[in-house]
Amino acid sequence: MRVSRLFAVLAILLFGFAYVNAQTVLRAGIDVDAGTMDPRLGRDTTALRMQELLFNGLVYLDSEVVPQPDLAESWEFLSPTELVFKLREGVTFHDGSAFDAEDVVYTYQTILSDTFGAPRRSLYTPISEIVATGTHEVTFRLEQPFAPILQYLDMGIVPSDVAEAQGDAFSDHPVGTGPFTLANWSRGATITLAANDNYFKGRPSIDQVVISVIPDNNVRLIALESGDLDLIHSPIPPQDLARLNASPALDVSAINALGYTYLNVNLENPILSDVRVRKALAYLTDRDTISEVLFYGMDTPGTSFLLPGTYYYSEEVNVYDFNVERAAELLAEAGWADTNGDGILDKDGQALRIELTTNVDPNRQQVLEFLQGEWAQLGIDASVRVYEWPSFIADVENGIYDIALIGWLNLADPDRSYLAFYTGGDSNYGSYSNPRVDELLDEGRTETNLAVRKSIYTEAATIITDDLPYIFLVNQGYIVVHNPALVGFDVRPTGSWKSLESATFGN
Amino acid sequence: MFIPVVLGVLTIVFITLRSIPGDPAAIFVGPDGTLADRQRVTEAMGLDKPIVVQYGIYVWRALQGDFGRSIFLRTEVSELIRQTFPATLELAVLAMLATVAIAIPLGVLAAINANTPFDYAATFISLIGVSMPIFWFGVLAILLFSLNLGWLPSFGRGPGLFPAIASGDSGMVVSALKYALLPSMTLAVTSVALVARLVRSSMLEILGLDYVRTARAKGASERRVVVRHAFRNALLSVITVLGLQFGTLLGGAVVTEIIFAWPGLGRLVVNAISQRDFPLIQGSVVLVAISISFMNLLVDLSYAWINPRIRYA
Repeated sequence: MRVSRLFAVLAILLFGFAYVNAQTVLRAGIDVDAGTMDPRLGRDTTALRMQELLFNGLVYLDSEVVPQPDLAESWEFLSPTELVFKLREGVTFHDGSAFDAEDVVYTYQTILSDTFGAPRRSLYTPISEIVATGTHEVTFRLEQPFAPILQYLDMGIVPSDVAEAQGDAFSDHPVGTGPFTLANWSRGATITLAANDNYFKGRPSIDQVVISVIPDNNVRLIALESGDLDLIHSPIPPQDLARLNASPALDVSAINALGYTYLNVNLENPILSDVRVRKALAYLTDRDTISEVLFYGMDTPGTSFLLPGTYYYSEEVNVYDFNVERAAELLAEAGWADTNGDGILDKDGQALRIELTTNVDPNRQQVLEFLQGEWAQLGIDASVRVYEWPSFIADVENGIYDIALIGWLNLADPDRSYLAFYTGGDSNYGSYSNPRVDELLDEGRTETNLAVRKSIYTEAATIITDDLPYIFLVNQGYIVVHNPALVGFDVRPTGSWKSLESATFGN
Repeated sequence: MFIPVVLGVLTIVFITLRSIPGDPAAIFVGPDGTLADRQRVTEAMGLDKPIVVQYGIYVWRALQGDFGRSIFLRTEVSELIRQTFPATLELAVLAMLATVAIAIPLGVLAAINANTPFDYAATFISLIGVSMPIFWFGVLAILLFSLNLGWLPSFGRGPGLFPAIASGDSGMVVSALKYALLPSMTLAVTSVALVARLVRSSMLEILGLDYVRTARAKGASERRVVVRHAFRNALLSVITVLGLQFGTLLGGAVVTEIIFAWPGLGRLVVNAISQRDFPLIQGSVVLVAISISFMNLLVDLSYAWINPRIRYA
């Protein structure tokens, strides 16, 4: 069985062209391999993407990031802390066994277990109990009302008996209910998926998806242009975007992703603890130029943690348009002046020196160097240091930085920013604290009325953009470039490839 | 000699990894993880134990060939190495063959034709080869041969040369060679240039020695003088450098592997380093160190074959 599978894969690799002419094999290129195929353990973007093709969650997030029924047929809040799901009947896993409520209970219980080591466990800790209240009915009980819960229930459901029996081996041999099965996984090289003949929404019309891991952004693009691939997605070198858009042989889709890039300001720093200095820096940060020139319009100017394209986006926050005069006034107001004529502002004998840091990434480095130049025109002496991610993030977590350029990803709900802005929150690196923001974040977490919740987050975003613990730079874009013959691939802010279940190759 | 080298490598890798900043548990739980999550992961990884205890467990297991499980890939390190090392070895061996096949004739011809236009051209090309960054050469080669000419695949290993040879299918071997051509040539560029220059200078030195003049005087053909008398002696220093180059090729394959999406050990290790995946880094570095020591042993043994004056007791 295994040998024949291996031969099938080799045959496809070797005679890929023959299959492509029949337009049933999709060849995609990605930047990193998946760390695991077990949805409960997924932490990298590729793992999350694969889990959606191999598994189904109770819900999935659509193009507007709104939860839609997947393995759940419907759901109902019996009370603010009790949520009941009616499950689909007649669904089978890849091994032929039937899906039922026990599988849902098992999946979430292992994630919540102390010993399992699920990286996204903290999203689910407000759940106090999961009970199978029927063969196809599951009840989630919460410790307190937790508004974003539905956004997080797209986690793939694993078959309890198989996952339990396989243990760690389940990572390599996943069994789900999804549109595709894992035919072969050659670490660091290719992931081959085969259509699931018994998929409950109907067999996908794409027979095979062969995903090649190509780390270099330029080479991935060349492979697409030379016809060795049918689909690639972000990261794509921004400078190539205009050329790709002009090519009739390629279909380019760009949308807002669920992430932003920003400057994290360390409020423990005596210079930066003065909000006037932070506002001056915000006015001196030309987000339009950063977006248009450094990111070629791929990432759009950012204003707050409420992202465009989501329900919670708001324009009522404080926005700092590039304004050198206003920045100069604010710095003067804060007592900074060049008293010794060396070209650098000073106050009480201390020069206005700031270190800007980020991890190794050409675009991020360019942004910091650009800011260094912009800020220098008012006498701010900014230095730039770029270093390797683990060392960089360890410094940021320990508060050893002045201003750090970082990004947040996968912000499917505004509550994902809770720990970043809450007083003493684990990812509140810059020691920001505002009691009103804490109150609002707590209210947002429990409020289930969408309109009220939106006004809560708008108020929080307004205060945060006035206090400026973050200087927002750009909202990340998500780009997919594919062979125009691929029809029905729906580009979603989550970066999901789930629509491959219904996409086809038109001719 | 072998055991102390391995112990030394084990210790250096351990100390280096523990002294650089970056906490695997923090990277594992990610920015969304709470401090409590991180503490739990630290304990699960055994990183809360005293450093001496960690070292003891690690050395004891390593000496039995057990490097544990990768923290992030949740697979045995030995299994990951088994999956990826053949690809890296394949690339290094092909690059080595290319080096020998191109650099030695080039160097010998340059020496015979010293100070002629051919020699200047060979030296010029060698200088470019030594100074050109691999990643730049690699991308240019892909642009030319894959995108513009469409002769060769732009990425990947295809069926792999070793598995293809094992299968005995000639079509598969040809396909594997097509995939391997650009990456192995790219990897070989620097060593071809380096070795060609070395061969040239050693040959020039030897061709000026008395015994070569004697050989010519006794009427040996020029071909016999160059190949039998001069080249065999020049080979001694060339073999030494080739041995060292093999280590460089094995370790230096990382950049080539990244550009050509070659599924080898180098890429695995680079990812492991950026995630601070201690068991995977330790296992891979020790394996590469052992391979290089083994290569050095082969080089030492070859001296006796090339130069009969050297005998190992």
